[in-house]
Amino acid sequence: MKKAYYIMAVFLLLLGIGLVILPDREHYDEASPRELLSDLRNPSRFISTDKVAEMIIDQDPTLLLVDVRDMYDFLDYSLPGAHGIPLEEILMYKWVDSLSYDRSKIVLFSNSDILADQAWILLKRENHNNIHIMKGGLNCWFETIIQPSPPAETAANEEIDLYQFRKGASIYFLGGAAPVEQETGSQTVIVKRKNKTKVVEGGC
Amino acid sequence: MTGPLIPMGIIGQGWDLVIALLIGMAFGYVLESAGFSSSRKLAGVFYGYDFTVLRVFFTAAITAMVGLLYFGYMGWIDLSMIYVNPTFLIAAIVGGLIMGLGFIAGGYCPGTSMCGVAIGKIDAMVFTGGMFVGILIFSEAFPLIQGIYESHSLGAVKVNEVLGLSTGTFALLLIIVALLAFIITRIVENKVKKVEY
Repeated sequence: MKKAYYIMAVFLLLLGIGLVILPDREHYDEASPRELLSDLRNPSRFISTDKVAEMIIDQDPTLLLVDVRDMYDFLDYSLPGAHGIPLEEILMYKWVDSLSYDRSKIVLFSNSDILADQAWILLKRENHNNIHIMKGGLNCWFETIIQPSPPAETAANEEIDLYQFRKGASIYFLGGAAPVEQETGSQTVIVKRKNKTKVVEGGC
Repeated sequence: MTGPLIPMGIIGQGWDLVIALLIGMAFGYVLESAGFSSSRKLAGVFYGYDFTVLRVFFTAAITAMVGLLYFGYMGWIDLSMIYVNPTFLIAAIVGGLIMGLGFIAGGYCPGTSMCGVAIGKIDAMVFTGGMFVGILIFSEAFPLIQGIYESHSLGAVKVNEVLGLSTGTFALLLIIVALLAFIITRIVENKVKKVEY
């Protein structure tokens, strides 16, 4: 028998022994259940619609909006600049580069929180960082940003400021012009004539 | 994690048949080069004068097994995404017997018969014709044999899981079995009268 066969046999045996000795690394690149639970409890995984609106208006370069609804819904309506990555495709290799860019703040959204939450868990298990969920999804976006309801007259200043911001954001996203309060009716100009003062007569 | 390439979306699903065709052509070329288009060489495994078939396929199996396990360990392939054929116990035994009988009688298995056809072997053409007749009979008689076909379904089980062994231990045992088979078949070959073909 050729010497090469013996060498190959020994090589195969060594590889086989290696497989027995090597520790199990089957799930080495996934987040542990403990880490996942800790992240799940952390409220900072949610981001408000106001904050998202602010970042879009400021054209924040670190923001990466990801619409996890299906493509039909995405093409129908989505947030400006959002990427459409359906939930079923979120772990596909073609999106790895987009989603693993460390300096991005990835904000996932769907109609409500449900799909975005599922996508968040999938990505977190794959150890992606800086992933957030837009709280309330697009339903909340419509309620707060597109059609904000005015606060009560007795509301605190912060609430009124927030409403003003939302009104401004609504105009920004709907592409309209800021409403200008129209002056109603013509005003009559009352000219007040000054009484002529008498010139001082006489002199020195 | 980068593999498997098609389920991970690296290669589009539309390419799977094209890739299958290319791999099939390469496989056919290697089979032909190894002399597997000769029915006498193939049938030799049953008569004890040529165990090349056993050695080649066993080597291929353990090489692929070791390669996949190390790729999985390195994180280059997600082994949970590899398709595992479901096991139908009775169907596998009956099918194995029919296949074995056909192999001894005809001197070919389905893949090697195509190699024989490609180089113009008449026995391979007859074998392939018989194979298609068999497929036709199976398809037409399927409602009658469906019960046997689908009985004793075990799902996508792996041998090491059934035996309660770790993947690594089973792999090592299989390598040892393969090496022992290579040695024993060589001894048998030396003792059996040489057949010229």
